Amino acid sequence: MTKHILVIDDEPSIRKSFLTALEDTGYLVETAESGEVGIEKLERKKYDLIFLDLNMPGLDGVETLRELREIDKDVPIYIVTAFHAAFTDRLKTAAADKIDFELLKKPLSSDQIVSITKGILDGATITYRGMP
Amino acid sequence: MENEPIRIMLIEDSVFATKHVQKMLAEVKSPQFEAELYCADRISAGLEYLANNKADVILLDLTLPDSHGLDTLIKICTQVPEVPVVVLTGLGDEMLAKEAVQKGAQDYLVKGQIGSNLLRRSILYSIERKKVERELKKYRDHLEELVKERTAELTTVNKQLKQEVTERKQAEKALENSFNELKKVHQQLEQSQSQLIQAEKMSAVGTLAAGIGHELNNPLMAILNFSNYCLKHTRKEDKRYSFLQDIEHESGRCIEIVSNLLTFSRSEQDGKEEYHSESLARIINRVVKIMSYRIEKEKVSLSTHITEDTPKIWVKVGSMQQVILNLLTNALDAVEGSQKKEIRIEVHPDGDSVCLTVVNTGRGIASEIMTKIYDPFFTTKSVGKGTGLGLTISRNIIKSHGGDITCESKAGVGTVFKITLPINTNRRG
Repeated sequence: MTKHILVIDDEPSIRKSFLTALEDTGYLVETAESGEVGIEKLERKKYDLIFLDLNMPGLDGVETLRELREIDKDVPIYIVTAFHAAFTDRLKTAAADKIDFELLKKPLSSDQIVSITKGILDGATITYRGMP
Repeated sequence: MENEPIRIMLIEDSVFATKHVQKMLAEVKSPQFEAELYCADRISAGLEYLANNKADVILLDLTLPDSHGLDTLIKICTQVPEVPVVVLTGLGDEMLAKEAVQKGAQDYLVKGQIGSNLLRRSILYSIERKKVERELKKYRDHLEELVKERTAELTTVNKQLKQEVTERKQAEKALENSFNELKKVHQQLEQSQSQLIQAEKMSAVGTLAAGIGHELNNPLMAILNFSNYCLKHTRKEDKRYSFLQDIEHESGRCIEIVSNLLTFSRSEQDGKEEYHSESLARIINRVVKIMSYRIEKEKVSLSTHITEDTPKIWVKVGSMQQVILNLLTNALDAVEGSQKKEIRIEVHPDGDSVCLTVVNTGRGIASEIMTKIYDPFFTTKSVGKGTGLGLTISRNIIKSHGGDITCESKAGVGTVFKITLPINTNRRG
């Protein structure tokens, strides 16, 4: 069965990066340009993996994370960030609230995006560069 | 005085002379000149009388049976110094008489030339003279007293003044010292002030740099991914292929620069990494293993000397690894192109610290730039080799551990970097 991936990031170039990186993988990649749009999409459909940016206007990454979890407690959510200091405390709070997520360090190359995705969706053991 | 008779003591052994004097006195007796005469024919008798009785004047013969010459006078003057003396001398003894006057007698009379008027005059004159003498002595004594008093006063005041001067000089000296201390403190304050200003500037630059760094991450990710994609879809023979590789490579460099930058600015703010007790030796060995390929390839002779029983230190292992990696990389860059390629790493305990030195026989650091080596973005390495942040970050890490780093170098000979790190956690900055 085709796996569905959702990429939530306000930057078009980042959304395009994910699309081009995962082009030949056989996964279906959808994008959302804001937290709100991403939440709406999750309400309408189930996804197997969500990539989430932190630094977005409007509803930021942490808020979006909480809302997404309200809808789906199990979908793997990977936060892609450059560890902006402003979010650290709130992420710690979210983790304390037992909200599940993983952290990925920006920037990621195409190879890294592919290996991480394959690893999550198809369970391949690959060493990830850039994971904390 | 005029009412009371003058008591005259005559000490004379010649009966004739005595009678003569009596006769003279009788001749001049008057209401203005009343005299009582007492006689003695030897000095001993005279002295005895004078011991118990008062006399207003003494007529003294110098040649007596029991005393001679000036001796006689001296005996009298010693016993009754307040009584005027008129000496009686014989003819031819005038020299002696004069001497007598010098030695205390008020006047002298030459026997055989004593007229009554002369006798009276001499008696009255002697009494007056003695009075004057007494007054003079009184004044002189008083003056001596005054002088003694005044001298004592002056001495005291002088001593006080001298003390005051000494105290004043001491106060001056103390003031000078205080002033110098103040000057020193002022200089230190000025120094602290410029350091603070510098730190503020650095902090502002750090914040700015971090902001820019974060902003760059998105575009860099895009460039990286797009060049990845293009490469995937371009044949190797295509003349654009190598350029795409370069784009990928250069964007990779940018990412590394930004990463270093963010590490640098983050090292000023949060301290996510935790402290552990670790031996420097283990960290060094890990780093050397990472760099082993390059060390061998460039034919560098690396030796490590770790003193046995060097205590473990409390350290952020990842950060310290970064520091040692930075120092070793710098050392390898320094010996590139040198005749002698030696690097020596030493660890030994040093009081309540552990000391780590990295010595290389490379090109050295010129003295003019020695003060700049820790400045961010300062590098002497060729473009692409260094970001100029390695030592800046390393120093920050060392300082946050409560340690210190120093550097000594000689151009053309080599360089020594020395790090001290406290064993005791309380010194963590």
